[in-house]
Amino acid sequence: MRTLATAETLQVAIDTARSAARPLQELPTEELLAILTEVLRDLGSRTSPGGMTLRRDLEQTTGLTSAMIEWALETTLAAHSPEALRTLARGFDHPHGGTRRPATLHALVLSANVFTACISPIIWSLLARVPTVAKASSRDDTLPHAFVASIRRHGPHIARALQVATFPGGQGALEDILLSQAEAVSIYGHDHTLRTLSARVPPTATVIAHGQGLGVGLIPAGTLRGPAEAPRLADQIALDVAAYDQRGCLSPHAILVQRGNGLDAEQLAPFVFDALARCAIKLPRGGLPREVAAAQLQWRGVAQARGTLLEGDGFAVSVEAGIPLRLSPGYRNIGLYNLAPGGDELRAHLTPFGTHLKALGVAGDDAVGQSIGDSLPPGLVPRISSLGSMQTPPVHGLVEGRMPWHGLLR
Amino acid sequence: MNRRRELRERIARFIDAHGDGSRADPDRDAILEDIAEWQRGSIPAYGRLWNHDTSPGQPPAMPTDVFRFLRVAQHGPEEDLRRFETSGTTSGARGVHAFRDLDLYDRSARAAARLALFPSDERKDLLLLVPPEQTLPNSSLSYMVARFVEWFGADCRWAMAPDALDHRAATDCLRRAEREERPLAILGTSFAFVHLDEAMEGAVQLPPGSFIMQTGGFKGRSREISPTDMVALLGARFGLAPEDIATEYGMTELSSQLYASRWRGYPATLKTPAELWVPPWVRTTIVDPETGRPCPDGTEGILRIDDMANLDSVACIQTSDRAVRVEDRIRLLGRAEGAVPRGCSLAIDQALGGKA
Repeated sequence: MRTLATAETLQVAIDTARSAARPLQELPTEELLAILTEVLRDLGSRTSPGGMTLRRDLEQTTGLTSAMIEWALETTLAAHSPEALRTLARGFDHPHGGTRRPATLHALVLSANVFTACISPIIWSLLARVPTVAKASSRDDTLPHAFVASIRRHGPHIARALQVATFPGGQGALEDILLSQAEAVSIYGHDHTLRTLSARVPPTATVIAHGQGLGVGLIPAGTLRGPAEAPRLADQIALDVAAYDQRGCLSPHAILVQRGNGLDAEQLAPFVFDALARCAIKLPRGGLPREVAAAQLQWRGVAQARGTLLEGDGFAVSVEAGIPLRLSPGYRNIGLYNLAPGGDELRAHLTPFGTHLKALGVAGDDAVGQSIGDSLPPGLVPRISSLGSMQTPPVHGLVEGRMPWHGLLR
Repeated sequence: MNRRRELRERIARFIDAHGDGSRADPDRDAILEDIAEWQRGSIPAYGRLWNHDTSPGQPPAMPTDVFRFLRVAQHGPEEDLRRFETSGTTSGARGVHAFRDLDLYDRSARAAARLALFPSDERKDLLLLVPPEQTLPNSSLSYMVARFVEWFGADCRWAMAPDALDHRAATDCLRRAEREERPLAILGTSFAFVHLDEAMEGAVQLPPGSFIMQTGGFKGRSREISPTDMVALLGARFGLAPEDIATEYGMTELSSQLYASRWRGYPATLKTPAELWVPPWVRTTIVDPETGRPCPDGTEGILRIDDMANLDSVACIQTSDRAVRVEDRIRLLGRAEGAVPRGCSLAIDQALGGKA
């Protein structure tokens, strides 16, 4: 078990990170990119000592199966390709308008539900040349520490700029030490965590909020012509559902099938069921926490009572009518709903989620998705993607409607 | 209609015959099976559950969440005599339990309370920390407590409006009981007791024969107090021993209640949680939440309750409450996180300005 941070060690981490600001800021971009590329290659390697240790530790801490861990690492690191990093770096070096000054210290509060979620904000911090102390969740701090260890191997002269401190949430004194000295505070977690911590951030700092969220899938009218297309679409849906065992803030909890397709929700459901069965073989689900099992029992029972439930070994598909949508408990339980064509009913379903709607996976081509995104009311800024890629966001896109350097560059 | 009448009479006879608390009657399971079979045919939503039955040897159980989305009743709304509603949840939708008549509810509630709270024929002064029935007609707790006043009460004082605790009225009642040495029973939700404790100045020494019945728990609202800490708090404030602090377990979706008291089950102590007594007309099963199948005794699971008195809805109910069986008693372990938060205690805390 990793040693938890104390007030003393946390202050040392803050001071150490700050002391590395200058070397980080003076490092040429190409050299920084080279270091990051090596770090990501190291973490992505199944045979390097760092990669092997990482995978072993992640099996202990994440609750995911080894196959899912491998998929997550592979897809996340692929999204952070050298080309993607170069594109990202150009944005950081030349942000829109004004002068830029890196924040003096970034407090990065991480959650534990999606272990790869730390990669992007860490990379953004480094590209913004901001010394960072990541407060890792005591439930899973494996990847942040692995990242730090890898930077020490591949970029020792800037490694001090990234520090990781592990302690449980609710340790007010430790949180205050970190928050009070940061100029940028990123918070990933439940809304309650967001509210509690934001209230204690000094007015001189910028809060970059990433509260709890969910995804929804949409099959617009006319995009699914008939049964021949259903298996491929179902595979895409199943991958989005199965990824991270549906625990992430981009994970879809409902699939909306607009009328005007070749299949309706009832007809599509068996295809999604079969696709989840295939996923269960390639990417088995991890263990089911007891409290989730209780919620799953309730959710599936409601589905049985008011609609259709197709129940598999470690997954289930429901087809229900009605508003509001019923959120699933995750862990590969997904509801399919029929929807009227057009935007009115779609907006009626999605608007209540507000900023919690983080991802909208849309079948069909990109133009369809973009058009739907443009039609959403203000305040709804989900990431629009195709089905099958809801959980693999690009690194250089907007992040909840904001540029990746938001708050990090002043 | 005849089948319903026949079942109703069988249930009533069973409850009356077991008014002494005697158990081990094989008729219980037979009656429950017959009720479930009848409900299967008369409540479509319940009938659909039978198609997915995963609990061998028992009829399927209706998850409590279903009451939030569907009408769960054998009769139409035009025949509703009373509708009890769950407290508001974070998702907003309230569960509704519709009753065509309340005879079985009353019969069960009276018999169980007689055994667990009011074993003496002598009526008792009552202090009620629950809103009166007239102000909260949809609360099953308010209904039940109003019946207790009728059946068991002597001098009774309501000290709870829908949105405020009348702590002055409560304190006056307590001081009078102390002064005149008249045994007093205080019935209320856990949150109401916490608010009363916070409002009172000084302790009260209630005379022997007094007791508390508390119900509901703490679902992450305002203050969260463990059951054993609650025993300490109530004991210190009201001068009561742990065995005089009873726990009632009920829910809107049920007609019957479980108790831990000096007379039935084991009340919580300063070190151990309560172990609830189960009335003879109720069957409890601890189920594995992942499979829905019964757990071995002593294994933690989720509580399923089969309540004979639930004739016009569904007798077999699946809760989200974690529990473990200890011989013939049930020890509650709290609500499964992730389950929809609920409870009358919650609504009362909201009324009293507790945080969301």
